[in-house]
Amino acid sequence: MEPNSSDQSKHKHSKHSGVLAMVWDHPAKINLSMREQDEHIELLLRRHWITMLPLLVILLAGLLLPFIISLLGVDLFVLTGLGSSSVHFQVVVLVVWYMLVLGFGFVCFLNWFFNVYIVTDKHLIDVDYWGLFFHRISDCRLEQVQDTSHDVQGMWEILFNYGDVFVQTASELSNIDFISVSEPEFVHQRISDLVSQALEHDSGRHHN
Amino acid sequence: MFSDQLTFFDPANFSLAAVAAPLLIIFLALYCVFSFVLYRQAKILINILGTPLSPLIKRLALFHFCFSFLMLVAAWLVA
Repeated sequence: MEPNSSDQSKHKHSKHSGVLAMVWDHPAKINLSMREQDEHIELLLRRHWITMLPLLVILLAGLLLPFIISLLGVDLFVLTGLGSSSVHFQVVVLVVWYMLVLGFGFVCFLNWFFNVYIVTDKHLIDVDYWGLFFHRISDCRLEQVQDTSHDVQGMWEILFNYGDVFVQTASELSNIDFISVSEPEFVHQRISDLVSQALEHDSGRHHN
Repeated sequence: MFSDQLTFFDPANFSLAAVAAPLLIIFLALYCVFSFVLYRQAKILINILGTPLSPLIKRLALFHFCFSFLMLVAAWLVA
């Protein structure tokens, strides 16, 4: 049975939109290289931003550190033995410091931005990207999904409504786990609905 | 005899200022390589998953690489 437009609009949350959304419902202007011709993206999920909070604190501390040190009246260049170096060199060191901190922030942002879980009407796709040298893309067809579950455990998860959604599959890749996604209950329900629709479509095709 | 060979390093007369410039240049050279790898990685990921932010991310990654290279040249000049 094909989903009708009222079903889709019922599922579609108006707040789940935007390129930086943690849960993007029916994302527009997304170009997924491994998408089939008639395949539609239903959900694009990212980790909840609160999981990036420790890195944000480090980033902020890095940005503020030179100001705090100067406010304390400590000359860092004298302290580290670089007091005798030229002013130009000291300026370069300071600019390099900010470049490193902002570079760290950029890498953290890319880690968050490209670590996505994509639910289409045919596939579940997990794009993993960590650090500089690692990325992995795994996918499975919705018909291969055997079981889905979600858990929300911990104070922060309950406060900010995020958790893990586990998908057991019959493919060679045993599981696709959606870690720390926002609104796990909604995501779980949506995947279950799409799997049911895919199975019905699949069985209908076999009967014909 | 072996201790005589180690006398070139004298902690009492060690000055960080003397080695800071070459260390910074080596560090920045490595950082340039890393930032270029980051740019390449970002390009690969944008090909896999294109979003409206993709052009901005690509430009930022390229700017990051160019700026690190500029800093390498600047450190070389002032050292």
